[in-house]
Amino acid sequence: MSNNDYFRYLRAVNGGISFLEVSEATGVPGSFLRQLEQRYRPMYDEDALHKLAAFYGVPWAEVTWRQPWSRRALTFFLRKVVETGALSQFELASGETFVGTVRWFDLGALLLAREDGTEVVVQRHTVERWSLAGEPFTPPAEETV
Amino acid sequence: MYNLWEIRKRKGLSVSQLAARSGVSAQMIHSYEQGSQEIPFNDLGRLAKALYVEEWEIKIRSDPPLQRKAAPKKARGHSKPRRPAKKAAAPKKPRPLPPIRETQIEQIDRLLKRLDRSAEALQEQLGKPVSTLSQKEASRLLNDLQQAIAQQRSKEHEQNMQRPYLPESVDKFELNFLQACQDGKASLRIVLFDGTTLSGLLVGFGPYQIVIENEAGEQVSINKLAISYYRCLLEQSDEQ
Repeated sequence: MSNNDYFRYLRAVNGGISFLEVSEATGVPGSFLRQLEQRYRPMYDEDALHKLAAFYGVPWAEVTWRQPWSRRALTFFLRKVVETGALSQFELASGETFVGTVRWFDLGALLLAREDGTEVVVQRHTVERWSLAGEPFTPPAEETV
Repeated sequence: MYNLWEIRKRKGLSVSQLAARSGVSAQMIHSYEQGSQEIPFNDLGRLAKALYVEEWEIKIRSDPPLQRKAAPKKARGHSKPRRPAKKAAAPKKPRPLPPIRETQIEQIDRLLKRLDRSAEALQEQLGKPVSTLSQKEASRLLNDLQQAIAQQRSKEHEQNMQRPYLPESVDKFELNFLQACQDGKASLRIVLFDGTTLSGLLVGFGPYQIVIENEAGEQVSINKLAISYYRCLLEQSDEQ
């Protein structure tokens, strides 16, 4: 789950409050909140993120560790593994890890052909971390973030 | 590539209308159209937008528009007799052309870098070193180099336009997948974010939700944001 999706998730589990309500409560501009959730590249403003972490009552680490695991970085990875057909692994927000070959991916999902022959459509927003199969989950290279 | 004034006239706009549309002052537009100044990239973008053309279609330095010949003034009956013309002055010696400016040399260097061309190759092409050019020659050279850059950019733009595969901008793969599931009268097993599992016959889908019919015959619409992953279970497939 990229930071975009994480903040959307936080807003959803807090009763689906609007950007305006979050903005009024934290003093973080609504435009920043919108971009934080919708922009393809990650946004970083330490002061704003501190305010949001305090507002949602989540630890600071929770809003920072995802920074390199951005949508853009996932796209880079998916493009690479689709081209090479490499076996890859995805850690989901539920804690499960799926291993398989990515057949396709698009805006919202990816199709993983697992080694047991089953195919599963994984929603991109649920993917926390990824790597080639058997390799540790190391944060993506900076140029892909 | 066309002169700015040509495109403007073709679009039936006056300088002031173009100024209002683009946010570039009428004075600057006039100066660009006369070719007395090159159009900087930021203004080029604004003008291209306002004229609904691509940036590369506009010449960075316009050729000045052809001037109409002024009609000879009619002599009025009561006008004073003209003074006799002065004697023709002796032919002037041609003035030496002003040498290239430092800033022009720097700009040429920058453009050569962007074109990935060496100064030596340019010197060979010109037949003399850049530093010996006159201001006018340098100005023409700059114009040529900028046109070459504009052409290069337009080629890149075309290549980008032909990029065949942009998965970040489409969601067709998932929609095609769901369509195939629906056509095959498949059921879906959906695992939600909170671990809940829902199963049922796929009866509809859209970019943001999936509708299934559960065993009780109820239709359940599930927002994709709530979904973690799902499987399409065709009748012949063996369920895991």
